[in-house]
Amino acid sequence: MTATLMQRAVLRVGEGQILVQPATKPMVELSAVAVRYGQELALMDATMSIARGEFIAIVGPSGCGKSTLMKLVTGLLPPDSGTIVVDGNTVRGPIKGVGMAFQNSALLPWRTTIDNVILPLEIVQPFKKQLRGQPARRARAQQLLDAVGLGKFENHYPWQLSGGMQQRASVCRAIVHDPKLVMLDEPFAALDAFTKEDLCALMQDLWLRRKFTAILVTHDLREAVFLADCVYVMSGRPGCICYRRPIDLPRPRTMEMTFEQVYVDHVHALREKISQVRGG
Amino acid sequence: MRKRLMRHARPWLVAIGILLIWEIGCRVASVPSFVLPRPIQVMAAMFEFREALLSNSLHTLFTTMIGFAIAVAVGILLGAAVGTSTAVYEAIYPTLIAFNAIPKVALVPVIVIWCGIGTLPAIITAATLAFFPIVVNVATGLATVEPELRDVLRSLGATRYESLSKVGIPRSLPYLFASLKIAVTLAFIGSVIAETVAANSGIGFLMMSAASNFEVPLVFAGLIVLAIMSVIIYLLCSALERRTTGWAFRGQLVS
Repeated sequence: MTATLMQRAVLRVGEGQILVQPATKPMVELSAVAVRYGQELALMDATMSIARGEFIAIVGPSGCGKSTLMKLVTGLLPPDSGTIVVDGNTVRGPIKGVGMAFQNSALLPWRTTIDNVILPLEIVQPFKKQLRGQPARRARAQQLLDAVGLGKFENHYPWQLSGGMQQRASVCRAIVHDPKLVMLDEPFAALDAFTKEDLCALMQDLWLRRKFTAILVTHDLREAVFLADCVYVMSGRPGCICYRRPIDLPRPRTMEMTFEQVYVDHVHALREKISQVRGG
Repeated sequence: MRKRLMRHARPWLVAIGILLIWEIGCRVASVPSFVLPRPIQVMAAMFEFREALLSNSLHTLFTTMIGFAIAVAVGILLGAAVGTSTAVYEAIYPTLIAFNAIPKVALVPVIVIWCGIGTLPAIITAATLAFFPIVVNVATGLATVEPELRDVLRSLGATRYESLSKVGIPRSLPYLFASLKIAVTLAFIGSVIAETVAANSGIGFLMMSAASNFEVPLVFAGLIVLAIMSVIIYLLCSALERRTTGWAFRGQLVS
């Protein structure tokens, strides 16, 4: 039963590919994915396709399974039905080398800022096996810290940094190993409005330079429209992707643009959709 | 400068104050020395029996340290097993708690039946009393790794060994050292209990024989030597703690 369902789903997506995107394979592909926690259906029929180097955002009311979706894509949570394909391979367990950043920075308090950023380089290949590894890794981490304005804080411990700086370090740790896929789970949610703006701009810079594929989960519609190529709206209980809105604003986007009519229209449209799913 | 001097002087002032109140109280109420000897009498006894006190306290220190070392080894291993695996946790935790609830004094006669009288029962009692807080704390340190951090490591593709060595162990070190400070005093209690029941050397043995001869000042001398040894070992543990896990205290003073 499950097998036939899965086969059908794969077939369907296969046809879609040929019609829409004949050239490049998508980076992440979910087809008819469902998850239950006990009796409750947490996520229903999630189907989406994220192109290589695309920045997408997922918005929705709290408890709608946004974080579940992230765990699915990284293979931390197996789906009950449906298939997830990342970079051409079906996901069957935790996939390696993904970058992650969360609302709390989750830095290691016993490591200095730079040692925290080095952590993925000690675990992920090819950096792990590099000859004369430590100096090379250090240089790489330092370069990234310089780029995010933490160049002079490399020897500070996390608790000596402000919340915004901790979050910068956390973002550095998420992308230092050049991951193909970066997961951002409300990374700026706990920051004040100004710091948040700074970090959004910084995130865009980093993405424009490195072109990783990114999935951002957020409550903040302005942030989602600012950063993403495409925003998905999820409805709650059972979670399902109910609306997809491409954001065709030119890059690099600036904070001034957030006050322009096109930008505001995007935010309004998303807002309306969310009120609908919350109300219904 | 003055402030620093005050800070270092304070614990001494408290200790001296207590001794003073004790001395004056005994004199005022004229308490006989076989009930509660005055500090000066205790000090005289300490001086008089210095050789016996020294050899016996060194013996107690030796047994305590061996028992403590066993407790640390067993405690870390058990704690690591309990903290990293829910199956192990569910399987052995109830038994561990039940074992910890047994009064170890009641165990000493049994240990004597098995091992005879002497140093061995003291070592075993010290170890059985001291290992439990180590198990609990190491397990807690390992089990409370933030779920986000776990996700970060898993999605980086960290092996079990990597996540243990890079996150699990450093994270549980402050918990381990906190428990060592408790465990070392428990180890002292354990070895002295065993010595009072079944030994022919050690501070516990010395105090028991002194008590049976109504040499009460010597009993108190033994207590004070014991207290001093515990404080010294405790301070050593916390110095080690500060050196290795200073990050957990954010540069604040602890001991």
